Amino acid sequence: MSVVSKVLNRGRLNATTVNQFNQSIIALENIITPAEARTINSAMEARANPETNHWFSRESEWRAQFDEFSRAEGFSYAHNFVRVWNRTSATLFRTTGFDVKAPRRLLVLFTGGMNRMMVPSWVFLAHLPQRSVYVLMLRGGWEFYRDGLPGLSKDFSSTVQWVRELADDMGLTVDTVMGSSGGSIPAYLAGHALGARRRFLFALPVISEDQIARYPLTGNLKRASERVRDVGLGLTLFAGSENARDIETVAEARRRLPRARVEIVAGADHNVVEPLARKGRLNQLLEKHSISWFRPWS
Amino acid sequence: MNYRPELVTLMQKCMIFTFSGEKVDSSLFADGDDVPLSSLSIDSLAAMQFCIELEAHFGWSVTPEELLAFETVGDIARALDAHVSR
Repeated sequence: MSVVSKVLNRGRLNATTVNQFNQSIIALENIITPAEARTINSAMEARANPETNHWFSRESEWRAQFDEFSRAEGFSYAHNFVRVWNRTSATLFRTTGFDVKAPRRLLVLFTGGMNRMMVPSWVFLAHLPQRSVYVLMLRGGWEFYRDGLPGLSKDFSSTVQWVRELADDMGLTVDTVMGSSGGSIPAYLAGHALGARRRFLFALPVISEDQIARYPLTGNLKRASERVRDVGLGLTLFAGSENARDIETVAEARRRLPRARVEIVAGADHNVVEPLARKGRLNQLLEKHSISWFRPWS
Repeated sequence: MNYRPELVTLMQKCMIFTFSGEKVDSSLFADGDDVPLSSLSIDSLAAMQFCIELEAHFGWSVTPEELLAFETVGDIARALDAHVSR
């Protein structure tokens, strides 16, 4: 039995409420690879009996979601990932069949709410452009990374330094930084500080004035761009057409960052990643903007 | 007991906003006003997280489906109060 199956079984056996079950699934979903999600689906399928499985209904919902995500265009097992290591606030993945001759690139993800890029880790990884790459997924979202990564860094600056040292130690170049919602502004600033060639921000967070006062390091994108004197080169912003404030935030950012590109996701609210993944457009857009900025990954 | 301030904190943590994009804060309940859930941007993920937080903080096991069946934040606060008072 795989480690993931053991963790899944422990979670479902210990859970006494739906919320505890959901919490164990979410925690697992935030660190697993596409192949591991397929293993979980198989395990759930094998015990799909409402008479003997207390969590039959919830697991059926999970399997339906797995089917929908994994059948979407752009979802691929072709360039699968393995987890190199996992800590409370960070997980490092790398692609399998790693091309030793390819540039050693690091992609850094600043997750937002629920410690995810708006979708489970296995969904996001499966839509990434198929290149040899290491992926560092960070979890410190709801406080906008102000308090750092538990166990790894004490504040935002030391988080950036920790990423820089990790990349240096492994001989990796920070190629791309992405952030979603509460992780967007930290991703923007970290991407600039780390010299990333590409930055993708999914749904800039709605940050109020008092939050800016509490988190002066992050602030909003306009203030952040003023501080780093950026014009938005290599920057792609995503916003949902149905979220008026996000659209307004992106429009304001665009005025400040004239070289930035904007993708408005039709029909999407604040969560822009999930509808893109479900409709098979996430991989397409990441490919498009990865290749068109400067030079292709491969 | 008035649990609205705690509910507001948890909603902020779960990235729940109003549909117009304003922050969820205590001013939403000024002068005894109540806030319809339909005026908040709560997707399935946020609802799930909100339920997990409610259970962790108050020991109140409410499912996302049950949560979204409430009409207003005040209704949630009253149900929470009833649970805690039991």
